[in-house]
Order: sequence, then C-alpha cells, then structure tokens
Amino acid sequence: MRTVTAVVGAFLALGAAASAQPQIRFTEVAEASGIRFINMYGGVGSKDFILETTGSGAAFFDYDGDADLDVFLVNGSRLGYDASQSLSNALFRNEGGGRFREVTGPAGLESYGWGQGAFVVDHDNDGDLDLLVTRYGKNLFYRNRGDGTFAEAGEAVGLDDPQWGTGAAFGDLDRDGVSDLVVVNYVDFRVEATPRPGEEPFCFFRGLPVMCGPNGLTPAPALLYRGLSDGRFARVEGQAIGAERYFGLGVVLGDLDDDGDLDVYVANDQTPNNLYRNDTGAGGFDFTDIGLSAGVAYNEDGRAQAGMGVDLGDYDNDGRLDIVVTNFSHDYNTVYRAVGGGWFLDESFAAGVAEPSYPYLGWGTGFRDLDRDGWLDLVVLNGHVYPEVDGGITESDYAQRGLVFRNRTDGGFDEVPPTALEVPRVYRGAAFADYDDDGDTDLLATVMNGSPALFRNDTGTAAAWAGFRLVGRESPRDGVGTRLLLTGGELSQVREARAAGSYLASSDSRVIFGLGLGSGPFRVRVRWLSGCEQEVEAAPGRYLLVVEPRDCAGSGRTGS
Amino acid sequence: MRVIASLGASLLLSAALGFGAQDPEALLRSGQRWLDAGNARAAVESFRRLVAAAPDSRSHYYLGVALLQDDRPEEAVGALRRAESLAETPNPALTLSLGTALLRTGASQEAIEVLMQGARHFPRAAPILVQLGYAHYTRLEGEMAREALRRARAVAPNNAQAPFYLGLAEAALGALEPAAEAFGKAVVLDPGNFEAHVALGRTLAQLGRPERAREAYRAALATAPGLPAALVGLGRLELEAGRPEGAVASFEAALAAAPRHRQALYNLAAALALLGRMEEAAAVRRRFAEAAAAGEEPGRSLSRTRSKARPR
Repeated sequence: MRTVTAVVGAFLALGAAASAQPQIRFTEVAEASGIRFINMYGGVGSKDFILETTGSGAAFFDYDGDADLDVFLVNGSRLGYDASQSLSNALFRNEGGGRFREVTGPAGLESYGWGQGAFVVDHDNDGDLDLLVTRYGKNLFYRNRGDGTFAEAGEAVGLDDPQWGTGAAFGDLDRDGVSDLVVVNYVDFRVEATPRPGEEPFCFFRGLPVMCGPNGLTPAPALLYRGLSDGRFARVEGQAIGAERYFGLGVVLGDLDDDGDLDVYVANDQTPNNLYRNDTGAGGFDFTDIGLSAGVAYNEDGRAQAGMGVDLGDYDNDGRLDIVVTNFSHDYNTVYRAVGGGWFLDESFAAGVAEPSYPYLGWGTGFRDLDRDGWLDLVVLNGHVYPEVDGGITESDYAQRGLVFRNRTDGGFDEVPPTALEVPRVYRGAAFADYDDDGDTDLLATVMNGSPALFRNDTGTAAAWAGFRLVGRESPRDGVGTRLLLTGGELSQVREARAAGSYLASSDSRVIFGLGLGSGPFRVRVRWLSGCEQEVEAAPGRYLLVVEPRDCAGSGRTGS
Repeated sequence: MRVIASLGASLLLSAALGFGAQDPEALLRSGQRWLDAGNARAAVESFRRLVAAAPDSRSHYYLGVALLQDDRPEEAVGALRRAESLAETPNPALTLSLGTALLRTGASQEAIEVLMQGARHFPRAAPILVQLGYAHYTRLEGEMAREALRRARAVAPNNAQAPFYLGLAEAALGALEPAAEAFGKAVVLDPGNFEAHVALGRTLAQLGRPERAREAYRAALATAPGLPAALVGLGRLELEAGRPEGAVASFEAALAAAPRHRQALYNLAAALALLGRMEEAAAVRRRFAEAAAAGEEPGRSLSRTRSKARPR
C-alpha cells in the first residue's frame, strides 16, 4: 500500500501545480463537413428482439494513405428487410479543410446487413490499412488493394465467422510481427427461437414488455485468431479466450501488467468481465482469465454489471493503465484504477464518474486528453436500448446526452458544463481522432436510426501538444500496441497506440500528448511490441513519424 | 421486518378507525392475541373461523393480515380483495395491507394502483405514502418514489421509514447528497435502524467522506453487533485508505457471521492479494466464485442502497 500512498502524494503535489483549465468545448459539424449518413438499425418506436438494440459503430482510418483520417460508418438493417430495403455501410474520404466526400461505391465497400463494428489493421504489413466489419451474420474483411479500393476477403483470410460478432481488436498478441485478432460475440441468437416482448419474465423493463435478453438467452463464445505471415488468420482453440461463454460487447488490448505484451480486456453484458493475461511465449498462445483475481470482473459489490464499452488509459499518470467500462442505466460506469501488483480497485465513486452516470445507459467511451493539459479526460456516450421507455411510464429517456468529464488532476473527474454532447441522441459507437490535424482529439458518434454526430474539439487552449505516428518494422507496421512514455515538464505520461476500443469502433492510432503549459524538452521513450526500445524528442505542434529501428528487437538498446 | 412494520401500522390504523369490537368478539380477540404473540398460523385459523361466523369486511381484513404475516401473500390478496369488496367505505388500513400483499406477490403495478387510490382518499396517511414510495422504488421509479416519500415526510415528519426509503430512492437515482441527508434523518428518528446506518455509511463513503462513513458503520454495529454489511463497509474504507491489513480483519469478521457473503469474499480476496497473500486470496476467490455461481445476493443490506437497483 506504499504505492497508493505515493500516488496520493503525487496527486497532491501535481494538483497544487495545476493551472486554471480552459473549458472543454465541442462543435457538431457532421452535416457541414459532408458526412451525410442515415443509420438503419431495427425498429424505431419499439424493438421486438435484442438484435435490434446493439447498433452500429464507426472507424477513423487513413484508407488511401494520404496522411489524413477518413471515416467509415457501419449500417444495420431491420427485421424482414433484404439488401434492397436496407442501407449500406459508407466510406467518407477526408478532402482536407474539414470536408468529407462519400466514396463508398468506388472503394468497393458497399454492403448491407446487420453490421456491428468496424476495426482497422494492416494485417499484411503492406503499409495500407485493412478493415474488419463484425456483423450478425458472417463477418466481412476488406483487404486494401492500395489503390483506394478494397476487396472483401473474409472467407479467404478465415474471418468469415457467422456468429453475432460485436467488438473486436487487432494486435500482435504473440509478438511475431503480425497482428492477431480477438472477436467477441454477443448472443447465440435466432429470431425463431427467441420469445417476444412480455412472453417471459426476462422480457420486461419496469413492468413494460420489452425485447428479451440478454439474460435468459444463450451467450456466445469469443474467438481468438492468430495472424499468419501470408495474410490469413487461423482460429486458436483451447485457450481461455473462448473457453467460456459471455455476452461480449467490448474488447480492448493493452499491456495492463506492463510486461511488454498485450493483454485482453473484455466488457460483457450481464456477465463478469474478463482480463486475459497474456503469457504467450515460444510455446504459443497462453492466456489466463485473471479478471476476478485482478479485481476487474465485478464491481466493488462483487456484482457483474452490464458492460458495453471499454477503454484503457493512465488517468492518474502513475504509469499504469486504468480501465473504464460503461454500463446500464440505474447503475454506474466503472473505473478500475490500477494500484500495482496487478490489482485494480473499483474507484468509480472516488473518481467522480459513478454518480453522474446513474440516469444513463453508456456505450462508447474513451480516455482522451481533450484540453491538452497532460491528463486524460473521459467521454461517455449514452442511449437507452428500449424505445418503449419514452412512453412516459418509466423515468428513462431513449435518447440521452453524452457525458464529458475533465480530469481534476487529483485522481478524480468533474463533469464539464454543457458541450455539444448535451443534445440527446440514441448514441452507440464512439471513435476518436484528430481528423483535422490540429492537435486535439475529435469525436465521431454513431446514432441508432439517425445521423452520426461529428464533434470537433474546439477547446481553446494555449497548451502545447506533440503527436506521434508509428511505423513498425519488426513489430506490426501499424504500430498498434507500442507504448510511449513521455517525460518533461511536471509530468510523466504513458500512452499506448491503440485503434480498437470504446464500443464497436476503431480510432486514430496515432498518439497525442498534451504538454500543458510546461516548457520542454520532452523526451519520449518508445517501446515496441518487438521489445525494441528507442528514445526520441517530442516535436511540439506536429506529428512526428517514428520508425522502428531495424535489428533492435528484444535488445532493449536505444535507437533513434 | 418492513412487512411486519407495515402490518403493525395497518393494525394501528385499524384500531384508530374503530375496526373490531364486534361479534364474534372471542374469535377476534383470539386471533389478535395470536398475532401479538407472533403465531401467525394460529391467528389465521382463528380468523378463518371468524370469517365463517361473520363473513364481513372486517373478518376478511383480519384474515388477510394474518395470512400476510404468515408469508402467504397470494392468499392474503384474496382475503383482502374480499374485504375490499364488502367494505362500505374506503379504509386506509385495508388499502395499506392490500397494497403490501400485492407488492409481496410481485404485482407491483397493481400494488401501486391500490396505494395511489388510497393516497388520494387519505392524503395524510403516511404509511400508505411510504408503502407507495417503496413500491415505486422496487420498480426503479425513483422520481415517483421520491415524490411519494417526500409527501410522507411532509405529513408525518417523525415517521422514520419515510426518510429511509427516500434515501434509498435518492441513492437509486444517483443523488448521493439528498440520499445522505435522508439517511441521516432516518437514523435520528430511529437510531435502531441498522440498515439506515449502513446505507448512510455507504453513501458517505461514495461521497468521499470516509470518517463520517466510518462513524455510521460503527453506529450500525453498535445496534447490530457483527452486522456483515457494516463490517464490509468498514473493510472497504480500510482498503481504499491503503490499509489492507485492517480491511482483511473487517472482511473476515463479516464472513464469520455470513460465510457466503459475496461482497466480503470479493473484497477479502482483493485485500489479501494486495498483501501478497496470493494463495489465501485464490482460496477466497474460489469461495466467491461458488457463491456467485449459487446466485447468492451480493450482500443484502448494502445491496439495498444500490445493487438492488439493477435494471434487468
């Protein structure tokens, strides 16, 4: 417990030094920027089945290699609809100047069905980014041809699993330089085998007949894939991942025990969350679910919550990754703070995150430094699962506002005054990116049966920033999983390059550090998944390209 | 405990309104004595004979009350419905008992309708308002629970149940400051309500006031020595203060009283792990997993403040 004391001491010291903060502000600019998209997802005024509730996500990624971030939006369907009645997924090319243009057809990404999430990877390390779309039905994998077009290759690469895939995350789990993959599945669902609203005791909400589940339905197992050097993926069985069934929705990869490899955290609905510790070595994949022993499977009451979205981030700047999980309404969103020794404590109330979250049903979420003060803030998007709650009988609203929390720098958060996220919508996915390359993090929010919201970060701050774009050589080329430690000024900050997380979304994997008002120099130690470590100097005000040195893997020596 | 309290309130109301003192008196007095003695089964038998001898509203009412106390809510609903149909005028005691019985059968919407009607007829009947608020609370209708319970507090400022349930409703809405205020009033009005002390401690802990939370938990233990929920609360405070040794002692004390207490097991494993006692932690985790698999509630008293507010 000396560690906890030391951390508290650090909070006090740094909190005293913190300067007045600018107000975090967003401006909603989707329509103005050219992102015109309608999501179709299940019934609008009522929903008969759980399939109609999960919604669709989105991805920010540079599909055409022109160094700016494009937008991919997933679409769903309606019960009884075929492709001719449904709406397609869509790709919007970033034209610069804050403008986007739809290029779905030319890019070969037109697709229909019950799309869920979008997840980005350079699976063949060829320098362009490929795309996985999870679905109720066969997942789709789009191989980037490198000329601005894609070819669907789900079956060819072995990723066309037909279950109800929701969250997914690519990362080099065995550190062989090729990205592997975890896909979580939600419910083993068939319309004809599922009771309708009010037909079973688990088909009510506050006395209202509503869609049934997930309790009472059959959960589905997660899938673990090993990435092969020829671009295909091979299912890995006999591991903890997939051994038990959960109602999986969110998954994120990160080095939660700081041992140099990526662990797997899964947020499950109504079932305990999982933390799969990665002990993979020469003998192949080796995962152990330590969620219970690490204190991240349940809340502080020992109760499983309704996990939806998830993210990792070192919000208290103690060098350890913490976890946030969004949950159901009339419950609280959970912040698990890492306290050392591989243990986490549910500190949601102490962090000030729990109380404001009670009325809301949370989905997409992310720890991001929105005001560039060097401390991770927190965003949570909300929206109910039951349209029927709007009938006036319950106190819940179907459309709900988002929540933005500013890091107080003392281990807690304050909910910030109204931002554009105040407008109630039926939010689901949240993808984060600096799409306008101005050094702050913007937010793309998907909306069920509605248009997405693009929240441009307009926080006026004099604080500096430094960005990093990573290119691996021994490690996967997209740099995902690389850990960066920035020192300089008053703070040390740890960040990891990460794309998947939040809810059904893929975010900008570039790393941004807020530098506050401190003066440099700022040094960054870069630890690649290969084991290679190098040190670079931050370049305030721009993104620095960092390429993994050759023949450095595992040596621990520094390159430049 | 709450049901018994409600029944007591309804009997008091009954006496105040002149129920009883009618033929056949012997059967009535016999049944009442059995009720006073806590033998609901015998009371049921007496009141059944009373119903046979005098099948009026009053007889059915007493039979319903006894059935409710004998944990037979479905039968109680039948008797009380019969009493209601025979009653010439609305009766607050009958309304309260019927609402309580319906709530016990799980027919919360019907219970609310009955209680709301009673509240309209008897706007100053605090027990009805309290039960109405509690019924809303069980349905996670926090705003409506809050409204009913505030009305109860307004008409009966010394009713100790109203602030307790109001606190639960506020906590379920995530309104921790009002919850703490309400629980504080509840323990002043009824220092023996250990559940209110625990709920107050829990809320204060969530508000980041560990010293005051500790006082509340200790007050609960003074009222109910060895109360697991209070010991778990104290253990959590120790854990969050970075004192896992103290936390272990509290959790172990809780488990001595309730060996399958999920919160105590879960948090004891955490404390042991923080102390590096990994084998013991693993053993406790196994016990927790068994309790979880058996569907044990996470801790009855504490869970009432939050965990019961589980939506699905």
